Amino acid sequence: MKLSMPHTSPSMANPTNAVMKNIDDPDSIGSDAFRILPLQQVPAIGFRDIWAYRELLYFLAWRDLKVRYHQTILGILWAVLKPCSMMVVFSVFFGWLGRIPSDGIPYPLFIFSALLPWQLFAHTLSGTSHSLVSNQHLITKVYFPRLIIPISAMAIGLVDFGIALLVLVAMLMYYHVPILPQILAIPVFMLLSIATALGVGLWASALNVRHRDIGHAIPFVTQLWFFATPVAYPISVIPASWHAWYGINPMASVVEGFRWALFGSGGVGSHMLIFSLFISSTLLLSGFYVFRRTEQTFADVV
Amino acid sequence: MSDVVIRAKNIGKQYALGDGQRWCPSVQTHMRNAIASYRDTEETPASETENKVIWALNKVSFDVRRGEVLGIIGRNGSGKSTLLKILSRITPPTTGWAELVGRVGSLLEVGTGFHPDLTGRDNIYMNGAVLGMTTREIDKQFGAIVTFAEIETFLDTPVKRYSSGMHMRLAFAVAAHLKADILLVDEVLAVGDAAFQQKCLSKMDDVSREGRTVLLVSHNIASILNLCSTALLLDHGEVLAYGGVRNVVDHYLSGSISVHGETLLHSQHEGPPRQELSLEAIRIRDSHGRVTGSIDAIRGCTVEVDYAVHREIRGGQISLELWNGEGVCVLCTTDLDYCPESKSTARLPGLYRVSCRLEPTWFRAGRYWISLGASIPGLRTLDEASHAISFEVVDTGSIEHKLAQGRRGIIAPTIKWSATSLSTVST
Repeated sequence: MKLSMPHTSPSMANPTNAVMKNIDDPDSIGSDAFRILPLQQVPAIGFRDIWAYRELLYFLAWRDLKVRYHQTILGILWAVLKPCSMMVVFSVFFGWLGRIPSDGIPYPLFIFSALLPWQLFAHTLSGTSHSLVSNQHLITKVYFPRLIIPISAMAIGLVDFGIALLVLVAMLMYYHVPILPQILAIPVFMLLSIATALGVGLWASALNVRHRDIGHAIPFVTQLWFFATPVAYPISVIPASWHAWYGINPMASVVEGFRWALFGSGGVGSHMLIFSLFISSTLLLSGFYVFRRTEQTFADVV
Repeated sequence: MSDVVIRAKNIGKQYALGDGQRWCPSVQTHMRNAIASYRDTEETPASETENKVIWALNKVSFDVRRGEVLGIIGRNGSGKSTLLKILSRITPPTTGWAELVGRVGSLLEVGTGFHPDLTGRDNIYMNGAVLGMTTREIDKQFGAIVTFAEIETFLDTPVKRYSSGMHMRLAFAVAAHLKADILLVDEVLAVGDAAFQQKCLSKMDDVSREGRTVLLVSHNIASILNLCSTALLLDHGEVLAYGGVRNVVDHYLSGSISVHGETLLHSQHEGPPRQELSLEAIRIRDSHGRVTGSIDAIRGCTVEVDYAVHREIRGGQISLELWNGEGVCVLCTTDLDYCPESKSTARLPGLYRVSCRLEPTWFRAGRYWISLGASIPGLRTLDEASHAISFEVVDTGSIEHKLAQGRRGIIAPTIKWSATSLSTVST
């Protein structure tokens, strides 16, 4: 079976008014033609288009992964070394010198269990927000659903997360941490982390096309966000009455959720979680909307 | 069902001039404006000058039938590439619409998506996916692509270690194997060495013979004439001519777009006025006597020089150097070449015109310059004008072009050969 490019057959074509309109037009060359029209508002996410281009999505992600640790001696080991060295630094400065409480969990484990979802978030955010600008040679030369670019940029964060997860499993075994039933909730918190990162990343990538200020601001914002998230400290250092509001930062729920799923400590209140889910889904949906609204002008302004 | 597979209707595309920050003046712009208004000066705020727009395309309409190869020609900035970008869906039109039936493949450049760190093999898949080919299609064509690119031994070497020629061959090989009902091709033939260009041209010819519809943008008039049946001439975003390829190309070359082909020299003089002789003007005329900046290589041209003698001189000559686009002096000739004895002839004060014919079939296609000089050989320079005029030679059917060979050499004369049989073997 041949996979045709989306603007070739009406079934795969952009599911907007673009195809509908030309049926009544006597100038039209046929109902199976794809019509190119001036700028229009396209609020639909266009999953069908993305599905039709899934091979390109795969190749872009594959390229990013293949090139990431290219020409390095340690190769994929870097995905292990980076969180581990961060863990050592934090353990020394915050745990050992700073005496930050860790809810009774060994500090290295305490920090690593939070660094894992945090790095998933941070890599996804930085990858997606710079993705359009770093792929501008594609945007100005070929057509494909533009959403493919930020989506494919999420691969690196996911793969690094998977590798670091193996280290976490090893650490859990080393510290003889019992497996709790709520460990099954981990994918939920992972999803929350990705959704938040993609939501912000979609906004940032679309705006970064026009204003490169965004690209400069993202690392700084990420750093601030890091300290606003209970990674290096437990949420218990904050008065309990504020916890629900803390949920405005979805990453706070993610990090605390991870610790709860692994150690049963702390935990995420339902109010906090609802706040986080609301913020995260708002970011994601509005991100898709802004992206789709501006994507047609990317090639002209990038 | 009609046979039309591409229809463009009143397509227009507007671009903002300036730094493109029409909607988002930077902080600096705001500050400039604020300071300007504070000072209450008459200066126009910077943002107003940035609000100018141009129409890169204006009311462009055409139809392309199945199997037709349409060439799009025009000078730089005439909107050719913008038109292809709109048809490729990279950028939306500002007005009008276009319809396309069938699978569209666009080659606005070759090698889009190549990553220097990936190997040749990986890049074939990467580039193929970017062009809209499926993995299955690439698998099937893989051998053919590698053979076409002649890179068998370097398949697993990162592309950044390739020579630029190999890089380009690989890129074109993938593009050449793209299966599509409609191909939109922009200037991709302008790269590479002559031999590979010919290979690509013949591949393109195969493409058109397979009944595929092709839109081809090119500066190479010879390849447009070779490949296309119809052509569209764009000038400043508007359609100037549309129809049979020969007519459109004639229109393009007839100089109706630009009437260069003449330079008035006296205005360019620097320093003291010439005491004895001054070069006044140089003109290029085509075979019909029209002043033009584009010459048909198979018809040749005449160079005309006007000069003024202010004081009687003896032994003076007017010389002409022809330079090609690579900065090579192709030939040098003077008005005394033909009758050296006229060296002794005096030139009396007055205005004169000399002309010489540059024969057809000498030139390769491309841009040429003429430098002029007037001197008394061995004594002194009277006047000179380097790169006084430039003109373009367009190959519309020289022998070399007809035989579709990539030949070397800075000139391309048609030379008479003779053949004699020395011995024959009867069977």
